[in-house]
Amino acid sequence: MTRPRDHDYLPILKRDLADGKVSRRSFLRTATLLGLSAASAYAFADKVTGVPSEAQAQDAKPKGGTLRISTTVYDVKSPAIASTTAHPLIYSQVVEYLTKTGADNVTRPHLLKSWEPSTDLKTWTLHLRDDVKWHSGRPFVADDVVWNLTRLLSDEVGSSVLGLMEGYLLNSVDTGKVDDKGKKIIRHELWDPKAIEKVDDKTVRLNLKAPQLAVPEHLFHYPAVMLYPEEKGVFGPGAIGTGAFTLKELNVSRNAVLEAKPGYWGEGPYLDRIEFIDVGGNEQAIVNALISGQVDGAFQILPDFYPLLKDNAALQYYQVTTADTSVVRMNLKHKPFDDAKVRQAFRLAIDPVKANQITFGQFSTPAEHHHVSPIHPDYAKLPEPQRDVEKAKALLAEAGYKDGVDVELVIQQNPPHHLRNATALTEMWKEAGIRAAIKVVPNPQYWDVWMTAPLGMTVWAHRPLGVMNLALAYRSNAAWNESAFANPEFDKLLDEAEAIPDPKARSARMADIEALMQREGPIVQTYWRNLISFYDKKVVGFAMHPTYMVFCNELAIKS
Amino acid sequence: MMRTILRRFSRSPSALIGVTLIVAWGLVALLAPLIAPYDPSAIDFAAAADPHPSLAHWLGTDSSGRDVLSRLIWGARTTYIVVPLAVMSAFAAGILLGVPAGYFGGWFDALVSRLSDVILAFPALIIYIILITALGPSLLNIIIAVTLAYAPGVSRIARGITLALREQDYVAAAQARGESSLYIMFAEILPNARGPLIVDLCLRAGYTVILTGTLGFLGLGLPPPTPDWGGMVVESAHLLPIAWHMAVFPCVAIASLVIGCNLLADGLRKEGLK
Repeated sequence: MTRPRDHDYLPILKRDLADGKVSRRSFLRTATLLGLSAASAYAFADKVTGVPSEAQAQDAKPKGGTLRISTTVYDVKSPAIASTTAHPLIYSQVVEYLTKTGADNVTRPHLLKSWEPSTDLKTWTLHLRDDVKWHSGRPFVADDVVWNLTRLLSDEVGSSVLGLMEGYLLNSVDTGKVDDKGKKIIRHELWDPKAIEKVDDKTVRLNLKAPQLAVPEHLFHYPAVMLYPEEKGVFGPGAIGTGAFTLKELNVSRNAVLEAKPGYWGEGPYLDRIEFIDVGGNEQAIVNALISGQVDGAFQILPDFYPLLKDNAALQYYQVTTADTSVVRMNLKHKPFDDAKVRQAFRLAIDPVKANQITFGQFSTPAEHHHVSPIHPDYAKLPEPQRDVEKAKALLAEAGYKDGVDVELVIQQNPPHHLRNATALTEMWKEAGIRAAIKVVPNPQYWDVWMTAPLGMTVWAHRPLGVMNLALAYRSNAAWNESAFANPEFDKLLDEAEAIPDPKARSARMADIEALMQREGPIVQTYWRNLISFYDKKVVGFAMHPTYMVFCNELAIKS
Repeated sequence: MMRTILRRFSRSPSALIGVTLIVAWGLVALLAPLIAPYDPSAIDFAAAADPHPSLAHWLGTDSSGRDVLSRLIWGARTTYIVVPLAVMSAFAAGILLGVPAGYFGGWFDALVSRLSDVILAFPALIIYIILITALGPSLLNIIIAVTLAYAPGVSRIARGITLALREQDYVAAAQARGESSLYIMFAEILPNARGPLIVDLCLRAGYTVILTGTLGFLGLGLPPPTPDWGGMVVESAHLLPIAWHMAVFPCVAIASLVIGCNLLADGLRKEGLK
């Protein structure tokens, strides 16, 4: 082996931590990303910073019992195209990810034993665990990984993983054909036949077109589970996985029942059975189910209900700060949003601090219109956006709208804070001559128009790195680019940022990206929300995860 | 004339209470700009942290920090625009179809009756949901939906009364005088049919208040931020256990106006105001 075991950057990173140049969180994240095991990274950080890490030691957990969790029960037959964070709650107990981002926002190997990036971040060697077996008894091997990754990146499947990875694994090919609307049909193919390379039965190598830092995080993007190749990408009751549970029953909009699978390679399972119960979309119904003991925990609880549950002696409160948000995105294919001045005016007319206060109060923090959160290790602090109504008016006039503009803001009926956010925004826009009519539509109807509506409010889940959100939503032609934002300068800066391992150097580049978003970007973004939930105190091992993930193999019930 | 009406009202306490409620809300609607303490869509950012009733906001603020009392007052205006327009439109359509159907009979009667049957076969709420989902929520579309749903019922009543009245001597006399059918229907028959129709009108006005509330509750009412009683309930219903004032006050407003309409209808029926 000529490749060094430790990444070249690790010693520098360790020195920076000791000198206080990088934060403990940044160190843990980057060090684990560069191949240092989580345990070693924590140990080193503890030694240097003297801050004890969260208790890792677990008391022996009791065995047996059924855990009932309230959630929306979706059809999960195609995990690769899952579109909400409630989908993986069910299938990720059966089929698993190569990596795992914990509730602490640190990513660790999962079905992998370890990963090894090259110094230039263009070659990632993934070492598979030796002890993982499918439920069928067959060992989990490199062919399984190659099959799954190749499938996730195919146009036919249409997974959002494609948008995440196309920058470094795929080439776009013009088919020479056009669709009904005269738009070119672009196909994707691996940039090199050896892009996803099987080295041996337990090793896969990713050979990237461009440097990329967030490969381990991308492997935990919620559709990226490893499915059993023989089942051809279809998931359902009885589906074979590597996880601690099997799916016994799935009744969409009603319930899903999972049972423990003995012989799991990792921790647990302690529970015999999990039942996911859909009590309907009504938030009050979820709270009632929790209070009455119909369920032991909830996928999430709206912060509005915190006062109602906080004093309940049977329930334990959990919360986590996240990069979960909703953005008002302007679609550049529609007037007046084709003009960057108009987009900036929409931002300048807003005071994010006030909008945040109306939207969630103490359960959120103000955002800065660039979709990079202060909890992201690659966040760069810019001056706080200030409201400037006069400048907003002037920009609108410059763009040819001196009498202001009339627009329609489409929002989903649920969750209710979307309407509160929209109300706060429209009220502030009014002063700048932006007359926005709010159109509330049922949630499924929103997802019919989210890519096309001129002005809409879309919810975006937490992702562990700032670059990930930006790549999914704003890179030219990305699968989830809902604003039709296509800016070569942005794409170039993002490619560069994704190639920088040093959090300080990267955040300097992120500062450019964030400034560009504030100047020309397609969004008005005013808040980051905390996620909260309540679980029965008898449930052991739960931690609120920033993407709502629940690792049921780690949970137990005290009798 | 005026004195006769007043005397009759004074004999019927229920009608009196009904009229008082309707007139009181009518005044509130009329004077909204003068009596509302705040702009109904203005946000009090400071009050958002504690929305409960206070000296500054007598009925508290809603979940977006807007004054509940001001939204109630302006909501009355919304109601007093939507409900009379919608009910009048339904009555105009119902009478224009029902009276000729009863007077002429024959194929026109058959056509109007069958069409009414078809519409009455659907639960009214389904008609609203289908129409408003298809056309989009707006004042005009709510009026269209209410007209379509109520006109068949009104036309049936008008037709039934006309059937009875066309046999009256004064109708025969008018026919003998050579009056036109149009004159007989709308100058001879309609004035004599007004009693039951007015009672029905009051009842339907009450239903329409509930209906606009229901549409608001289903998210099919007037688009936000229009102050709308039903919309106020839906925006805060999930907070009922925590901030009851946000939903309860608009519910009380809806209930009081509906009771007003029903009491008036009741009183008019008892008094047989013809």
